[in-house]
Amino acid sequence: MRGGGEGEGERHFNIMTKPISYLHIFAVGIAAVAAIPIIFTLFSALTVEPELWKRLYDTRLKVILPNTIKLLISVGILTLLIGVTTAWIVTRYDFRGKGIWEWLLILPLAIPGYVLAYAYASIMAPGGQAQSIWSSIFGDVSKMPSLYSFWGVSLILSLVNYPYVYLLTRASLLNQNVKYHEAARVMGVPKYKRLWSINIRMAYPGIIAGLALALMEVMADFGTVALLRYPTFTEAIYRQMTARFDPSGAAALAFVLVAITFLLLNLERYFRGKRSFEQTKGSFRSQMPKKLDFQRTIVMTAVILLILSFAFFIPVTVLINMAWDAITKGGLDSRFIKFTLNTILISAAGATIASILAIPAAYLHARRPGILSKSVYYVSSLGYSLPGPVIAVGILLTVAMLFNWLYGSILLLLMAYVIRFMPISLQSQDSSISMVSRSMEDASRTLGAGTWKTFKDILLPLIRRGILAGWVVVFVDCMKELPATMMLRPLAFDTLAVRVWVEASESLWEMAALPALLIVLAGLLPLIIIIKKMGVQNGVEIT
Amino acid sequence: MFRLFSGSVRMVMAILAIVMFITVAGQAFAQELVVYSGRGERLIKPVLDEFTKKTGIKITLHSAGTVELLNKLLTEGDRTPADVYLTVDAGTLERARIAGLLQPIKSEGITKNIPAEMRASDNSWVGLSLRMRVIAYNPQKAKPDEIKTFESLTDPKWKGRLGIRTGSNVYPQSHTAMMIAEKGEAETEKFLRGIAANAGDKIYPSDSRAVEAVAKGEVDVALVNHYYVYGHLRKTPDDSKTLAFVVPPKSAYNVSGGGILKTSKNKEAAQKLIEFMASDEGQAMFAEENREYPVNPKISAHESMLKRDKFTLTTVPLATMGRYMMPAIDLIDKVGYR
Repeated sequence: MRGGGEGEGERHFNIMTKPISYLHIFAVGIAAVAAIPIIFTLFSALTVEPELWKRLYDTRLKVILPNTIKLLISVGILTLLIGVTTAWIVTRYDFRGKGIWEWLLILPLAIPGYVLAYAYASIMAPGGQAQSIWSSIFGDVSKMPSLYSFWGVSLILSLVNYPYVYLLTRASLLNQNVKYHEAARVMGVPKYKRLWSINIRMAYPGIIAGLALALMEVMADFGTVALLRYPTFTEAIYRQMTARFDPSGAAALAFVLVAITFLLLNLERYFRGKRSFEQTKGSFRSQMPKKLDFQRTIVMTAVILLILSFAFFIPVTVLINMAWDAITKGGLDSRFIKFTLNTILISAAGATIASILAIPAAYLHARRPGILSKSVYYVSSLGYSLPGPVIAVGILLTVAMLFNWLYGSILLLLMAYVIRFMPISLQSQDSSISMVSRSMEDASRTLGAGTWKTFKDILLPLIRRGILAGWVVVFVDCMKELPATMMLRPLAFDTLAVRVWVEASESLWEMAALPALLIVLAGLLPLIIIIKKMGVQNGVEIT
Repeated sequence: MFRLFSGSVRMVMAILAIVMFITVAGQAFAQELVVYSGRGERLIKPVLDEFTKKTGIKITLHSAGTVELLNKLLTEGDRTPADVYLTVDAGTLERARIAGLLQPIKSEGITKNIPAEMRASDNSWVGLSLRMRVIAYNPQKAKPDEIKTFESLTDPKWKGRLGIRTGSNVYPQSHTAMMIAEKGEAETEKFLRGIAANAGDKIYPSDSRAVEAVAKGEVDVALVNHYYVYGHLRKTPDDSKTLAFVVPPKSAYNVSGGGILKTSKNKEAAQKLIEFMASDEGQAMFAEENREYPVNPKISAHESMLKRDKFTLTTVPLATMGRYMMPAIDLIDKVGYR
């Protein structure tokens, strides 16, 4: 019971619901399962011999630490450039076709980094399309820039991740109150200064949040860097486990990666601070976009089209072509059907388990706020900021120490999916519960229905769509997941993502096309949810 | 009363059936060998089928990556179902021996047929087919004199003209280990840096890709296992104008091989399998399909292949090489050769 000084209604509510219930126990148990692998990882990293740290530094960290930081900087700059520019164009100008470009710009979110890397690797392979174009323009093919380089990796990761910056910047720009601009103009502030001090600085929280999301994806990326042979943490952890079978070394590297990730998250919080310049109530009026004449319409369309061509249209066309070739050569065989079924079954299982396990924590967080609910929610959300290889190492360590007999079981893979993606279900359930007024539940309880019955008959039907939306996103994320799948799958259990990776790293481009295309198609599903949100509200929240 | 009785009868019968099923299944299982194989399924299946035909011993084959299977064995510990572990690399077998996974084999046939430097000191593992590291080259663009030794590939003139395989693969790893055993770490580091610099981004995911790159003129020389050259020429004989190979004197080599798990409950049958592969008949089969050399020098290689007396191999025993596997992987990481 909370303090006695509360109002009558509140007290009534508290009498009906015990502060610590079975629900709390469930939620704590689920959070504990999510937390155990990471605790094991940290623990075994902290007990690593100084000798091993030194060897890791000499052979791995010395290379991957600067590599990772360089990549964060370059992708940061590039995603800002692309994301802010495109967001600016679609919010500040009005031109023909804008309504379509606005949502086409998020399409690259459907393509996992390793698929884009693979598509470009095949385009730029010896004898591929890129080489023939290059040689017809510049002649000497050996001077063509290589995809297997720092800039190759930076470009690929920027093309995949700029939509995060785009979406959140766009939302921030849309929520700016035009009154500030008018006030500044009346005061005689010149145009370029208004641009900087009002537009950009007011959109700042959104830009930073988008940037943080993009950079988190870069930290977690495994497939792109591994395929393009650019060593970073995820690839080093993967190799530490698979080539050497050195769990303590892998745990130590994972520890450093987690430390950097959390540093980044806190930096984001620090830079974003409590600043919020969005005023959407009261005298809110959003800025009217400027109508563009024909010439400028062409220029803006060309800019967007250029970005989208490289980020989506070209690679997807190439994938479709190769997939078609594969189909005519009998690629739709029983093997392919087996991979597809494997993928659908395990992703559906992962999404279903994650959706169910998220309910207690989401419900408590939304309906019974308190320290316990908050910490349970926080701990259950940790997985999303942990890269796949880190979770896989944590699970392998836990299994090695406690449940050795589970090794090689499909359960471990499911566990990884749940830990990594349950936060998505949590978030979507939490927000849909918060949107439902609690008065109906109170009424139901007053009429004598228990917590479970109230939840089942009143709340559940109302939040079904939220649960479903979360399920779809988790399902697709499981489908795309690569590193944890590679590390935890049972012998000979292949998913579409694994096939893309295996075939592409053997340079068997055509063999990878069908599974890659299927992954991209599935990736389009969650975009529908985002686009709906983009339409309904002006601001977009994606997490 | 009657119903209760019939219920318990049914239950007893069910229990009996389960017990019988378990016993029968257990026996069926006992007569079966479980083989973890890192070797291409296409290459190993015919040999195993022949063995089953001869002995009646059934085999369950699990194919996966050589190192992946070692990790699996390490984690499964004594609950592993595997009886026999076959690999494409002696270094990984030696790692398995050091980890205490393998059972020393006492067999006259094996000591007689397999040269001592191609098996473990205690016969925990046995080499079964021999593969050499060679330099594949395009005769129109490079001369054999220019590539007499592996070290000659570090010459800056090969910049952009050399192809190598990714450092994450066991073939370059065990080649590196052999070099460390022979020449020490400093010298090997110099070699690795040299070839990595010359190769640039001409790093291929497989030996067959590297060989193809030579044949197609993408690179002029490449560091590969010898049978990939034969394999390519068998598929596309016309490429013999643009593809040949040189075996450097005292060449680095490796074997594919196998061992018996300490935890195996069918050691006798497992030993029969290894002995079969080491026998004259097994040797011929095991090596021929892939154009490798039999480890038993008395069995002649396929007629299309370079004769055994035309080249020499390093004198470093494979077991010694195996001890340098981890330092080799460390060195490859340190140099940044991906």
